[in-house]
Amino acid sequence: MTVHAYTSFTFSYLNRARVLATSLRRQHPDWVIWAVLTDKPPPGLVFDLANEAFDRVVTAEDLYGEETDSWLFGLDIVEACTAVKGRAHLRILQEPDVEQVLYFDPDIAVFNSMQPVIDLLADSSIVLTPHQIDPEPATDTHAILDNEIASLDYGSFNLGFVATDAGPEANRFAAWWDARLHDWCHDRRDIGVFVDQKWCNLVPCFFDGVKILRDPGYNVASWNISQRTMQFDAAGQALINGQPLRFYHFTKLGPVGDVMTRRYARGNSEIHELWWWYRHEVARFTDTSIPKGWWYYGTFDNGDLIEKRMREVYRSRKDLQATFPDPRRTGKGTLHEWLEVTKGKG
Amino acid sequence: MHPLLYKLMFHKAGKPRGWTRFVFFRKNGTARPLFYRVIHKKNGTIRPRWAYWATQPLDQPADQGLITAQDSRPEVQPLSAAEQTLRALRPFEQTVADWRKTTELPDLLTPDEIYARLSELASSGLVLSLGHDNYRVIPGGVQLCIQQEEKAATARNLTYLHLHPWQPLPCLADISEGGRVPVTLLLNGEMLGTTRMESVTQAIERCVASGKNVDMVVHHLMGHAPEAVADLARAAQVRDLPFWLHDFFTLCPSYTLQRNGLAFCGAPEVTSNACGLCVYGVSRPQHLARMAAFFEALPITAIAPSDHTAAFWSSRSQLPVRRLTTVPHMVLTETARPRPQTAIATNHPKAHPITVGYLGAMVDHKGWSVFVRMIHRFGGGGIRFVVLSDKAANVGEDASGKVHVTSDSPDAMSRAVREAKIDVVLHWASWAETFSFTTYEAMLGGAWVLTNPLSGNVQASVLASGRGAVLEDEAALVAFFADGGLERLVAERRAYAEKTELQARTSAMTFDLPGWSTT
Repeated sequence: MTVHAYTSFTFSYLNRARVLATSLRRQHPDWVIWAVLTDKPPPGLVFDLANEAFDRVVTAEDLYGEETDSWLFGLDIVEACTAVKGRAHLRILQEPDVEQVLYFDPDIAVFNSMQPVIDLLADSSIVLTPHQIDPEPATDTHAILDNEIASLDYGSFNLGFVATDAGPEANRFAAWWDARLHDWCHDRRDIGVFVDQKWCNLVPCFFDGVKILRDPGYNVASWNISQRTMQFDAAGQALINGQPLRFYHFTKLGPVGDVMTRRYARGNSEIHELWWWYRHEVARFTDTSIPKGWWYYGTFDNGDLIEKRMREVYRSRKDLQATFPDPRRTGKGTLHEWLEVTKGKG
Repeated sequence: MHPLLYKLMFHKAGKPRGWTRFVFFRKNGTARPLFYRVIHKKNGTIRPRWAYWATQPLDQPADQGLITAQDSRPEVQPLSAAEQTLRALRPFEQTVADWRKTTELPDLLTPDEIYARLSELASSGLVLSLGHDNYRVIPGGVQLCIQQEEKAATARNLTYLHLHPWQPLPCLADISEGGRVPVTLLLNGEMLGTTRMESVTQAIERCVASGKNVDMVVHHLMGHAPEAVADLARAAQVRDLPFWLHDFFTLCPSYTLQRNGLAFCGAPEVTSNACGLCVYGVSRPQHLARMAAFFEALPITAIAPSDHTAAFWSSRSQLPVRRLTTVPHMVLTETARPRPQTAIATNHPKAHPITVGYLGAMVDHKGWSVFVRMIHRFGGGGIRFVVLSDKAANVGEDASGKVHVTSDSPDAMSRAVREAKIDVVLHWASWAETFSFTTYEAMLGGAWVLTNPLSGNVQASVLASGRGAVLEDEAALVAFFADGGLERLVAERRAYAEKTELQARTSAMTFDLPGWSTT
């Protein structure tokens, strides 16, 4: 029996996914690590599993078949990479040897054994990690806005991580999640939806055996470091509030992430060391043959950018989906032409 | 910013005008990248003109979406010292590459030439000494030790041949270089020339074959290929190879064991998180493997300059040694001072203000940044801050010109401490100092020492002698200055100084090692 882990990304995030897979492989050499790719490689890139820390690859086309192009046209890159998680989870649960399945966002790195989660799954079906596990002080308005109110807006649990066993309840969860994500994996906070994440506020309501993991060593990120302190013990073990650091979620690598880290890590220099390490690991795993911002499904076949408004109109109109089942195609009688003609007509 | 432009962009109270907000913020209230580029100075602090946006909510309430997104508001804190260190930190292989000389190797001495120079000196034996740089030119504690040892050797009618790498490196030489590593030779303190390690080995083989008594001592392996050093030791047929633990280079390329240049790590296992996240972590496994091969191949006596170092090193090191012993670089003894002392009368608290000193290299792992912070906090408040170093300081009262410590003027620092009337030396080392000349020089100069529990032999010396205080952390140090602790310590120090004076006995280094073969 085997533990399977997967992450979901496009080639633009291959460097981060490699950091994740390498760090996970270091802790768990025997796990099966999957790359779920909602993309096709850019010209010149050779993505060879023999040279990667991944064991297996499954693509959006493998998961969605003929509807892949039209379905993905309705989603932006974040929506697409999160929407495929439910189907991928279901797919991996079909593996004959599977005992547990863990999902990690590609911008996570694992620093210590994940065995405690596997142990939890002996008595639970689903493990989720909340964005925050400790309340902010009532006087810290900024922290309440950035963290607690953001959680109310974006979802209580961070779906950068989810773990399930392979039992009936886990399968029921994965099937429900897949169904919702197929139709509703959108950034529509105006109607209370935020991609794959906000749906999971409902998981403790709908399913049994849900473990809410409130260990500070899991899913440490800018949204909770206001309440968590990192330090090393004498043996060099990284600790978060005294517990081993299991994994850190390096969300928003770049100036935005830096601002949030600086605001909430404050004098905790170990957090800044962690980011220094991550930046250099990402650089080490970067393949310069991948064009900046590459996403195969991000453009029409002539290279024109597919704008968000185009995706929204396509996904909301069944008539367009029926008329243009191959929406990335350009030329006469295509969605591309129709969008050009109707441009500016409201 | 031009005043007219400022008027166009901002209201009188500093509140941004509507069009300014449009340029810098998206409709949903999140900041555009331009905002972050404009608002921060290079050091991370907010430009004063933009402080309003950094500190005040804009006129649209947060719950209407202006600043609810996680990336919406700018950071207001200046970069911390740790962040500044990390910004400057580069991957170790890049640092090594930066160290590489671009100059051509000079003409190299041949084995024959080396042998001829060694043969023409009439001495009773030869001491081969390995270090990491030119101890005659570069100041520092290790260099002073080697100067003392050279002096002791020549006083015993021995020839002292010192080898240091021609190419300085912050690590071992590449393993592929082996005997081809170029080294510079100093013969009895005089420049002999540059050659390759294999040439030295060949010359020493001939010396031994001709009946010359050859001994060898390792002060440092930085920049050397230990494999080539082992070949040299075998050629010299050493039966006992003294290896000085001047620092912890045997445990990590970061010889002061500073994780990412920020904090003392204590040399944990290479598989630990600390090593995995450290800039030195990638190269440490091979470094340790080469050290292990070196120690396994040779009959090594490890010499620690202090008992604290011996205990720490043996608790962290797996390296096999014939024995581990302690040979201090300096020993202080107390004698009663005859009364009255006119010079000491000026030590009365009314006679001059409390004086806090910093001695030696202005580097963070010796507490320089803490000293600077104390100046900023307490300078001008009746406390004098004095810097005694080989380089000029741009803070405090700089008396550095007086200090040039060499084997010919070993008391230069202690004299400078006395002349500057320093009461207390702040030696806030962030690593386990193996000996700390400056601690001893401070005490010899009449000052006491303030330090922290991490400082190795500094704190051990303070605790053993009672000449100073060991404070838990920087907060405790600040409190000590603020709540009268410093005044009480200085009063005690001055009373002690009126009654007691100290004498120093400096070490002959390896010649103080009992049973070492050369005499």
